Amino acid sequence: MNRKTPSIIGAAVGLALFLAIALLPALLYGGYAGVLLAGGIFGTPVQPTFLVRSLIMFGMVMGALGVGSLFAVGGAVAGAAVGVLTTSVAPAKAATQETKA
Amino acid sequence: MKTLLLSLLLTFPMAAAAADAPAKAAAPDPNQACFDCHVASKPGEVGVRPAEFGKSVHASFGCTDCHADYQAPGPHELAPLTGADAALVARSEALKASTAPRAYLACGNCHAEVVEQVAASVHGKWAKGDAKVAGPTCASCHGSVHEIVKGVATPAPAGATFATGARAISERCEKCHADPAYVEKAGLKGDVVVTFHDSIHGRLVNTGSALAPACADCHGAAEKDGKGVLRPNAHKILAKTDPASPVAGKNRAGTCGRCHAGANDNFAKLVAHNDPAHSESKIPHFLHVVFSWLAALTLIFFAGHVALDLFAEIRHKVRMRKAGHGHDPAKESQFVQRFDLHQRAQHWLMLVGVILLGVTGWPLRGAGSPEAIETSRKILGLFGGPHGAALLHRIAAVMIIISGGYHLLYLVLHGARRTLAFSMLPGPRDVGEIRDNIRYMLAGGDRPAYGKYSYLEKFDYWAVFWGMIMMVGTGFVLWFPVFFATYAPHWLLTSAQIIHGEEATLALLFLFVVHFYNAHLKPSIFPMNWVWLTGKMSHAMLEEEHRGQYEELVEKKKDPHP
Repeated sequence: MNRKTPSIIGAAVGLALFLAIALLPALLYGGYAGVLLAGGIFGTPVQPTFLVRSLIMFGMVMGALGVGSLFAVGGAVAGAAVGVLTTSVAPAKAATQETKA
Repeated sequence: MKTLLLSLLLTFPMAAAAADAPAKAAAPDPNQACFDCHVASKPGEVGVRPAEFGKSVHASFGCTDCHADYQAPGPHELAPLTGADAALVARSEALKASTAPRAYLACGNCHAEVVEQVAASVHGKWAKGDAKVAGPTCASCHGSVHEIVKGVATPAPAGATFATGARAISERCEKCHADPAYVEKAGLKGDVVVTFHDSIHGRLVNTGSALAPACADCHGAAEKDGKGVLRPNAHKILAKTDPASPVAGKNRAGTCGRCHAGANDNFAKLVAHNDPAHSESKIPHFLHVVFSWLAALTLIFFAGHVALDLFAEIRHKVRMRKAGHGHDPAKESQFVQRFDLHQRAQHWLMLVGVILLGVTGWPLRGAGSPEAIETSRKILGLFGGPHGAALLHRIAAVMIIISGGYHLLYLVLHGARRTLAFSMLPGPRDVGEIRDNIRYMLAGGDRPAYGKYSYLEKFDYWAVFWGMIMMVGTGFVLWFPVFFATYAPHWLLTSAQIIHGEEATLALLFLFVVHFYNAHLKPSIFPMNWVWLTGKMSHAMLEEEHRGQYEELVEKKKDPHP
């Protein structure tokens, strides 16, 4: 197993978790961030013009990328931690078994 | 035996039913005769839903207690009205009221005091004449007259001198005040509901705070209840132009002071919900425009940078594979010390603080969107609700302040020892590297030979200084609003709200999209650059990411790797 493998697995699990529970909220929050930015730039109440819609879409993409990145990086850290624990526990067990034998 | 068991099984229910029968016969439902004809099957249909009526506060009432003078079974006609009652019904019909005015009159038979309060309020004006639209009656706020339930008043917290009141009723204000057609016809202010939901009070109410005020809490005249707790009266809503209104002129500071002890007139000028464009001072609106542009342009530029870099990374990876370049195990197993323990500790405090600030702060900001309210409730619920999240938000703020102070002290001490490298200072070299990197990303060739820090890392570093000043500065204003209102102009408080929100959007999206990509997620680094934890960078990564520094090390023969 490559030393990067646990982190990659962790990042994949993080991304899967993101898709399962956080994609929709991320799109909603990102879209709302776009609405708020559009309100400041184009004035309120926000009208559904092309630029406003584009800014909201941009916000949704950024929201999804941002929260997805957070889950991926968090997952990679968690995966690496699990990897360190398993690699340090496994040799210890092997050593104990050798001593017993 | 089987026959005996069967007989017993059949006999017991029958006996029980027989025992129950006299009781039922003794208490026939007095309303049943009416229900025979006047039953509704769904909400909004004319008639009564007996099951819902049975759960209502008026369940013990007979139909004719309110529908007086009727004799069941019919046929029956409505009793003729005279005087003011007749005028009210006529006006209501002329204005096409959506709720029955006769029910309002019937409620007055028992709730005369309340009906008088409503009649004296802004909501009773329409009944007196000169109205463009029909105003509310009891049913407008309390719902179907046959299904009125208890529990609209929030219980007062122990020791409270003021309790937020009819939260459930306040939500019904939106039925009229958020209806554009009604608002236009009635000549009401159009954006009050939107601005309320966008305000800190609205967001707290939306996310389940029992302490934050809804409409009636500020706009209703408050009176002490039997326990001496000041309670707003939703039946006594006054127009803000009415000198007696709790939100009119000089009364406003006292109204704010119910929750914000010590609130003065300056604090009260911080209008609870208003578009910054309509603020007394032009400064908040100006800052709103500037910070919205700043956030949008910065994010668009760096999102484009990330997209281009990803394209260039993939192209580079494909070319390397085609050329047969593999990993160099020797370079991957040797490291240079990039960050010392102090630098890493500062970063750990900062990263934990910022992530906590994001997860406790953004759900509250996002709760201004009706679609995201439920999500915000759930996320903030993980921290014990909006007030638990607020406490954690402040703890996280203290963490980043400590991190900032720690870093400044670190710089001062290194400066005093003359060991400060100044490698983070931007210089003319960065301008050339920006140009070369854009050329590399678009057209290929070689990535610029960055020194210890690339222009992106320098931007990250200096952006934190800017962000800390903005976020911590405005955060303190929001943390101690009464104190700042005592000494600072009112526009500072409104501006602080605007800057804190816009800058949070910019900072979080920049860190989670741009910084995370550059530091961890780009293909050449993925899944993680462990320098934030170990402080060490492999020679292979140093050569890839900071070729200038790597070549300097090789030239100076500090590098053990030839």
